[in-house]
Amino acid sequence: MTDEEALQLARQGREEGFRALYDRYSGSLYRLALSLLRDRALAEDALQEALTSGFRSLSTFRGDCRLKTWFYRIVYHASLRQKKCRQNEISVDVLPEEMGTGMEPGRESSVENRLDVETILNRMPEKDRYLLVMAYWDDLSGLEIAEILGINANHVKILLFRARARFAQLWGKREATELEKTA
Amino acid sequence: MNCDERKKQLANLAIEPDESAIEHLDQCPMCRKWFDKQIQQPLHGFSPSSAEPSPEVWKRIVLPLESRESQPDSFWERLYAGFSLGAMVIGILLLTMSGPHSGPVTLQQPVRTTVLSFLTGSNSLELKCFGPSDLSAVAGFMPPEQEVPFLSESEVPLFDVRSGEEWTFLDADESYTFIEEEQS
Repeated sequence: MTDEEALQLARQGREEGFRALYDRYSGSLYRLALSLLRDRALAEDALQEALTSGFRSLSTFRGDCRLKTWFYRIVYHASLRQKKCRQNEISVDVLPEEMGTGMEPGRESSVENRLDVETILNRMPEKDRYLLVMAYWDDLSGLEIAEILGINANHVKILLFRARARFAQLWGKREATELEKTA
Repeated sequence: MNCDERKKQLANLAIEPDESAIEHLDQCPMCRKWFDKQIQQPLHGFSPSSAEPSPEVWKRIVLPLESRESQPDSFWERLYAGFSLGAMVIGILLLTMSGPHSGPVTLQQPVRTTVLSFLTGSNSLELKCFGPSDLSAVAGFMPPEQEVPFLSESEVPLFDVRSGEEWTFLDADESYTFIEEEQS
């Protein structure tokens, strides 16, 4: 089912339309919320709030951007609201499993890598975290990210360039530590 | 600052980029191309996440949507709908009764204006000109003498009860003559 077909069904109030949209986008939207909130329960709350209001307002979607970008924008703002509301309650520690990394079973090193990615992401500034998630996990273009964040596309390029550099720096340190351990 | 210096500055993570960096990128296609190339390269070590929300989230989303669709309208919603429909019918009836506007200006026009304003939700249709007498007209208590036009294309003879004679207002030419005679 294409986005358009799912959208049409959902606009008619048919569950299969909502289900198709949910199955397609909930994972990436959840990961975006998680990168902002660093708490599974809060990220699920933000996702629920965003998709409930998004599904109810599907009639207002004019199609001037991708449906994915539209949902991202809603989830991004819902996550910011959640964060503001419960700023004092957010736990800083994130279980590594929460942001698991889709590795193939039996490949311990890749599992470790994924856990390390999560650890590194959690040590990075919030903006870097969600920029990297949007750009490299969800393949959003610079223009789409700019639209979601409400900033200039060239500003996104600069931020992304620096977020990459920060990640590479931390990843390099992690690799150096690994080498020292094995030596 | 030239392009190379700008790139070095932006690569220095200890210094926060300022507005001028964005302005430079807005104006420099070469730098834009360079940055595009940099950020399009795969990020070493950044393996994708497979985190998924729990199945409960779907239920929490779909249940309010279903209950909203199956829920009948509340008493207040039905009352409001009924009131709106009634007001619309009354408005249309008043408009029909007031008839099309042609000829002399009478106080029936403000009544139509009021009805139109009410129906369109706008108060821009000359409501500011209304005085207390107009309000009584709106409410349906318009005295019959106020319906007599002040200007008319053809004079209607008036009957004087005391003299028992019929008379009309003077034509504009005649009244001019009359004033001239007075002055002379």
